Amino acid sequence: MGTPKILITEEPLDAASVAALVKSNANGGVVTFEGTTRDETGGRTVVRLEYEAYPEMAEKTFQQIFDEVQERWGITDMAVAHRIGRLELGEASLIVAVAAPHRAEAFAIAMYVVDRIKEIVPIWKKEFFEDGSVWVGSAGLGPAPV
Amino acid sequence: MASFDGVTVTLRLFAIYRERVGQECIEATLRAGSTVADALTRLGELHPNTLSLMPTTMVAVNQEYTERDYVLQPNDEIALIPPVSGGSRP
Repeated sequence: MGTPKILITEEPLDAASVAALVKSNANGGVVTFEGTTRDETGGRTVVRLEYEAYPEMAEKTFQQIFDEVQERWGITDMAVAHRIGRLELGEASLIVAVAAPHRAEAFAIAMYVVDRIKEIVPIWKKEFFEDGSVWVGSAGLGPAPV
Repeated sequence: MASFDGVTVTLRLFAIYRERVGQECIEATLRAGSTVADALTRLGELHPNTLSLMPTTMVAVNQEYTERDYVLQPNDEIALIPPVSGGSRP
């Protein structure tokens, strides 16, 4: 039951309210993943982050992932919220909530959804350091901006 | 087969592409029959500082991931998708 819920927003995220979207009496477990911004990457101190989305395609690819889950597990009680724009350290950038009749599949699906998001959803992260910044995944690719 | 008609498409640029080009969006008219690869070549000619990004870039046309031999249709929206990475890989 339920329709997958997808939110891309510049507003702060709240894991409990995302989880509330998927709870139902038919389910025995809800797994909620909260991805938060980290203060260190490769030994450099991160001071803040920015996320940028291709919003129309991000929504489509979130939906594609939910379709994959439905096909593989028969589960539709899922919600995802992704924050974009400027984030300070420790803030939630991604929340995924999955509800399923049994905990094993709820954990497995949550893991699958998060992994797939990092593969196909067009949202980019820029890390800001004391002395510069880098788009994650594009570091070291040739000339700096002119 | 040969045609002098052009095909006009929109390139959408995000993240590192947007910063290097200084624009979110470029309109380009290419020869009819041109492919995604031809559009990337044009972008590289206009903005050589994007060339080093292209080997790791995926391309979407009209919001679907697409191969570079896709033949462009009028008004296609091409998006250049540098590596997406909301966090560390496992």
